[in-house]
Amino acid sequence: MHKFWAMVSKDLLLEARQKDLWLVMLAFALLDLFLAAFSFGSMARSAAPGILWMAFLYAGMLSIGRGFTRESDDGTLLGISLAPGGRWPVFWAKLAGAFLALLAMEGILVPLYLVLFGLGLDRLSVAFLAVLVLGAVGVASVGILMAAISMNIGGHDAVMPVLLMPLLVPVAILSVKASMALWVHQSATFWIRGLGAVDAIFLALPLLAFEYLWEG
Amino acid sequence: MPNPVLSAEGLIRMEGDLRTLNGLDVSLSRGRVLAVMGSNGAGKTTLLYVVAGLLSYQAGSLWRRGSRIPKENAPDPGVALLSHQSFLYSHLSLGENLIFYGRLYQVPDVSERARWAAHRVGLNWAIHDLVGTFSRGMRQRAGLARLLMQDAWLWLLDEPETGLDDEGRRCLEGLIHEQRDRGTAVLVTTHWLDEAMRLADALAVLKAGRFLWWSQDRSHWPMMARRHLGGREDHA
Repeated sequence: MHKFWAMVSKDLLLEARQKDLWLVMLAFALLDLFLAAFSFGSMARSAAPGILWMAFLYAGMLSIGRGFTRESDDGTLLGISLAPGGRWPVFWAKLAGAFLALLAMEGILVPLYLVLFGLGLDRLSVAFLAVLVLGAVGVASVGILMAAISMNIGGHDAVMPVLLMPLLVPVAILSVKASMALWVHQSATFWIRGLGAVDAIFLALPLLAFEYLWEG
Repeated sequence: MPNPVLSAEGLIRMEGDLRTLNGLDVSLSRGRVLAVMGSNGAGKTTLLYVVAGLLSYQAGSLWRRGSRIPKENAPDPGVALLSHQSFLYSHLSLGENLIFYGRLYQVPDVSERARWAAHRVGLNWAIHDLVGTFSRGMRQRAGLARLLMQDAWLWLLDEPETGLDDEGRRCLEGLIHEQRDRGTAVLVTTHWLDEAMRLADALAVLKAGRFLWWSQDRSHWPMMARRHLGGREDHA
């Protein structure tokens, strides 16, 4: 566990130090909000879940690859490979770091959207918080897998969204559907279960492929 | 020779159709320093990476501290490697980098050890500076400080003098002798005979993935280096 915690604390320190991308993500999210508000007019409220998850997914795509590309750019993967504990703590630390970054992003974006769309903070139910957590798990797990695949490819910043976007479609659809159901006070059990199942698949895929990707 | 902590026989590493290690034999005991000279592409870095466990090998045998290592190979946490890259994060300070590596190796009193390591390589004045702002020579010293954050039984140094000034070279020499005295085995690659003369107990010349020649008798080193490397010993 020492390797996992050392990696997580180091990654969080680096995230906190490199604020530039957070500013870009926040600017993108606000732009998304204003454009949607002007475009949809009175229909904006009903489109709010889609707008929220679109902003969240795009912002996630900007940030999620950084965990591995930073190791690749600084040539540090070999250094941490030599340290005791093997490779798996590195994978779990990258996944935890991406998940925490996405949760932080949700913590900023969700209240902002609810207030600005006039939906009220009472929409923050336990079920909706579960959707946010499950959505973050899905995006983080598939994102880390794609980041590991693309880290040794030239132009990985451009390749990453191309690889990631199709795989994020199930997470996006299920998260939007679950959010929509909850915001109109309907049952979202079906969509939340589906999101949980997709998360389980996306968590299993890196478990099967990570060692091979690292070797590659 | 006493029981070697590192030995290999007939080691072969293939990259595509190319044999980057081609039947290499090596043996190194604790507290000994072996310098390896060779032209670019001779296989020096590959040798270090295979010994460290970062690369697999296809044939031959490799033993580390008496254990036979399977061909798939695996990193050995007791091996410290200084590569062409410092393995340090540009956006962390030297102190933060050293503490990170100290935590990976579960070093007690990690902050104190980091201060000591930075001081030992003459970078205590830069311990709070981001590594991304360091010059090439400072990065090399910082890489040496990283090695001091672990208690290794084997140091692998890939052209460690690169970018170092005279004071840095003296520091490197002092560190290697210090490690040798405490029983660490050291395998160092270099292009410079004078460096090998100062640092090593034995010298080997590597060409096309195998040792052409190996000797502990220093009186033979200049002649053999000239014969096999085309006068590289003339360089200072």
